[in-house]
Amino acid sequence: MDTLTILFYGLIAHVMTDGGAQRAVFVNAPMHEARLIVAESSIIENRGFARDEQGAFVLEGEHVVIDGIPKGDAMFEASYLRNVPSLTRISDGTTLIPEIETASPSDAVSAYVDLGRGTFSAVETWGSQATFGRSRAMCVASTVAFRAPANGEVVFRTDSGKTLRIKSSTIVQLSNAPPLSASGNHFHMYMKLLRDATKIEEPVKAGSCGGGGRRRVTTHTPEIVCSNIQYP
Amino acid sequence: MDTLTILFVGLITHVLTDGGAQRAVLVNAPQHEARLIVDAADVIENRGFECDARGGFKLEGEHVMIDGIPAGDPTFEASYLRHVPGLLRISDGTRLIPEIETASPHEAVAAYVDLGAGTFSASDTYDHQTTFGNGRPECLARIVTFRAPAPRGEVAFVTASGKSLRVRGSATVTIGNDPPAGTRGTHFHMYAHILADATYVAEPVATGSSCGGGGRRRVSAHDVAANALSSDCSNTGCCP
Repeated sequence: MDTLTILFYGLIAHVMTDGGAQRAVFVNAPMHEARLIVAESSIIENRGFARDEQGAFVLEGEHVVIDGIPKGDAMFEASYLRNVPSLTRISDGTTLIPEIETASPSDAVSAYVDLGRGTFSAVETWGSQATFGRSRAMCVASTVAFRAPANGEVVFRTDSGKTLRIKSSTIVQLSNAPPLSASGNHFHMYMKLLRDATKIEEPVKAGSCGGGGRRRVTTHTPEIVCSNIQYP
Repeated sequence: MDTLTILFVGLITHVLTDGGAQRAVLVNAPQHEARLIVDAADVIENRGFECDARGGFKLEGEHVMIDGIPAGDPTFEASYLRHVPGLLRISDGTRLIPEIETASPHEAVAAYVDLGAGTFSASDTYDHQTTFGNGRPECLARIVTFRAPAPRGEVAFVTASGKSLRVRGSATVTIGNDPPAGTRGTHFHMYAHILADATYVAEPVATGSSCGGGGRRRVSAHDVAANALSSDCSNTGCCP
């Protein structure tokens, strides 16, 4: 049995919908690009996905589902709970915009990717601890991984009819990040996903993530830039 | 390979400590009794645990660790994230009392139980949806389940005070922190005792909707008396 690995970067909210879906919601934000990146050698067939100048597959406007991994609820390693901030904790919002429940188009969302029965973990954090408002310091995940069993090949398929067939032992990157030269925190852009939020706390540096007993994952650059989030 | 199953019921917070422990914190609250209950047929040896009149092992004042299950981080099923409310989400608190990090005695805590590398899930919810403040409706877990492999065929619940309870590795153990049967009302405000800076913890309010049948319901629902509020003593999670 192979393992499909998806690495998530950038402004992406991992939502457990009321209907039972585990949905990655890519925030529509200035300069951020929703992309799927996979090694050429892992691609079996592409039908319809446009590619950008770097060869990444463009996801804007798409609702992607994955064939070839088990359906069902995801599992969450402790690192995910420790290192991926919760949207309802760092904001005063309580309710997502209704389009997310049905994966419907919205100005706030650039793409949806529905997952299945795999395991989430935080595989890398930014190098600095952060606080959100009065919260205690935490190391924020810079990379969130989702691993699922697969057999032979998997297909990323959109509601609009596009398909991307790849080898199932592949590592796929799903990103929603700005250009490399961009800096600064972007957490306030998650506000768009909430129906009733008036504020979202930005992360404020509060020390190093290296060495503490709570550190279970590797560290990344000190800046806390674009990070995934979980809901609720 | 045997699987140890622990069922958590009542005023218990599941804490991921900064130091990396997965710790069940049993809140010290009036009328609530911190107990470990296991079928007598699964008990191999008891050294020092006192029993109450119903055969439950008393946990008040203890810091319990479990030998015979793997050490390490647990994993959480989606049902746990759906049905176990986050303590910081339903309160204005931002941090726990410091004693919890070191499992030190404190008047707010009846007992600690440290776990290991197993899997948490919410196996049973109350029958009616509730909201906390202006939060979205949710079905609260009545029972939180922790399952862990027991490769040696037996496990031992060992306390820092020197007591030990050896049980079969395939046993189902209930760890409860409940009031006597028949007690009514919600008890979530008692979680404020274990927060260092909370001024309130929201109580669950029944929405009138059932937890049965919705797409979000993945676990069995629990019947309650029609005149009772449907969520009285539920576990919480902390801290993220």
